[in-house]
Amino acid sequence: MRHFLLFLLTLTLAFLALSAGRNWLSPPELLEALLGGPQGVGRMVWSLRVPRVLVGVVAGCCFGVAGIVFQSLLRNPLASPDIIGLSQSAALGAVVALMAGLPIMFGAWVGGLSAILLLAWLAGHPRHGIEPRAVVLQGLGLAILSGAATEALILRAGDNDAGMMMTWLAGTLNGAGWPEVHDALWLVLIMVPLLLSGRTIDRLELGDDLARALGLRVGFLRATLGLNAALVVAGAVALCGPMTFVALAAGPIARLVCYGRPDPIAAALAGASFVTIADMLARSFSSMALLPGGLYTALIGAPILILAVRRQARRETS
Amino acid sequence: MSFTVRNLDIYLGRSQILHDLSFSLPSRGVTGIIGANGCGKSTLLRGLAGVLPAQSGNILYEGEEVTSMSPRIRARRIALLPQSGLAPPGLTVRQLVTRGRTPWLRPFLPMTPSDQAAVEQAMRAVGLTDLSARSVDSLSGGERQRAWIALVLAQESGIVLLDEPLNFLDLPFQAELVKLLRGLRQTCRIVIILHDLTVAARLCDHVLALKSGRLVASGPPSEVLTRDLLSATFGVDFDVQDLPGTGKRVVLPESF
Repeated sequence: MRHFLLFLLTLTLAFLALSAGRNWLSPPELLEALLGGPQGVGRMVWSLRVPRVLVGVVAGCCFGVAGIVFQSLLRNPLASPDIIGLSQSAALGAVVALMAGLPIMFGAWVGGLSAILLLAWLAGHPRHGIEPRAVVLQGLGLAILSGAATEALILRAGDNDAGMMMTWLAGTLNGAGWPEVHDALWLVLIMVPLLLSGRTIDRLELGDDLARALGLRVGFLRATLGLNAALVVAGAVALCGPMTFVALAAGPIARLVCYGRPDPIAAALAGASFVTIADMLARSFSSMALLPGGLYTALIGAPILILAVRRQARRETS
Repeated sequence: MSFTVRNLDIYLGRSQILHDLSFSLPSRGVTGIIGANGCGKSTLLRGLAGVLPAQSGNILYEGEEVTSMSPRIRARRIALLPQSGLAPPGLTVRQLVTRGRTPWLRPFLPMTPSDQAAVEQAMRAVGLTDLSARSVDSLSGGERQRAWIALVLAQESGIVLLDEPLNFLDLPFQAELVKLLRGLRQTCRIVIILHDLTVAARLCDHVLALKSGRLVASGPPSEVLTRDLLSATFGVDFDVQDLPGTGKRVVLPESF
């Protein structure tokens, strides 16, 4: 039921996003444009807005689901991929790939996967396995390192590309077209195991020993879910840049809706709604058309996160 | 329902924690594990539960090797309550107890009526039915520990392993929990790590005494909780007295 309501919300927002832009379409106009075939407004909607909204929805799902999986695996509401350096490392890989003429998705995956393997290796302990707090703290360092390396690369690249790439680095759906929709469909397939992992990550939150005693293969599940989530988030970075705050805020929003339980499907839908709203705002204010959607996710996401954490803290102390 | 350990060695990292342990657990009742801090009590319990690998030796449940069972099947037979349970914030008592049904659930399907019945039964057994909708963080220390015990009871395993469930509880809560566990020993087999030796004497049908990862003694409390064996286990001298007329044994370090 909660999933259905969130799904309706995402769907509504997606249709609103199709109407939004420099020239707003009324619902009948949008319907006519969608059904009318490839002339005039219909052509603009089908070639520009539909792929852009689709890519935004999928990227938002990716950020949201990867966010809640990492927050849950590391038992820390701050441990989302954009805080522990996975998004930044994926962006670094993507920029390197772009400059080397390789596929961007490939570069982002290499970046994201090396980041998570590096973190697992750094935070691993021979007796106690991977220490979640160490992952978060070392990830903070990795985020700064990868971010700095990316900016250095971009600034060296020259004036023409630098502005465009800085916009991408803040997260934007500018330039999302049908080829990106094709990539996005693959990401939908890759995130299916994460969407189905709700019961697993819920049990892992009880602690490793209890989860094992309840019959979970803890080591295997942590490793596969972590790698899977890293792939998904890196894929989303390749599509639209590291949209700030989506992965971080989607988890707490999903928990607010689902009685505090880690629900990957709710988090994915929350992320999708979030990116859709942000991109709508980015396109609607024409005077600020160059501002990236990632700016709006940060503007909206930060207060939501603060409210969510406050509410949770109050419940814990009362 | 036999449970036998033969020549068990367990390592954590490179250091050997348990050395060549061999014993059998009685088929019913409460078995207590006693010993000084760091002697390997928790490691032994985790080994018995199959959550730690054994380097050599056997842990046999009804003749079957525990470490080679599939995790789900093992979890249906052996339940473990670790020392510090992490209750995610906001979780209600019923939700926590429900987590104990995990090894019985079919993937992606909701609980069946028999799962529901096991959850209700477990909450009734620990007397928390009336508090089932309360969040776990809002409970008192004793109630919270009872909620965790209900979780492992809901698992409906043949054997329940409890790691120091009386720790950090005030005396009234300890008394309440000891009464609960004494009641439970009719219906399930319990292995429990205990610090208070007087409680061990009162609660246990069988006691294992560990020192530095080796078994010092194994037997009924009247035979293990004696001056000689206790000083061999803990390295200090104890006063051991039977209270006349009650059948209760009081065990205190001599230096108290």
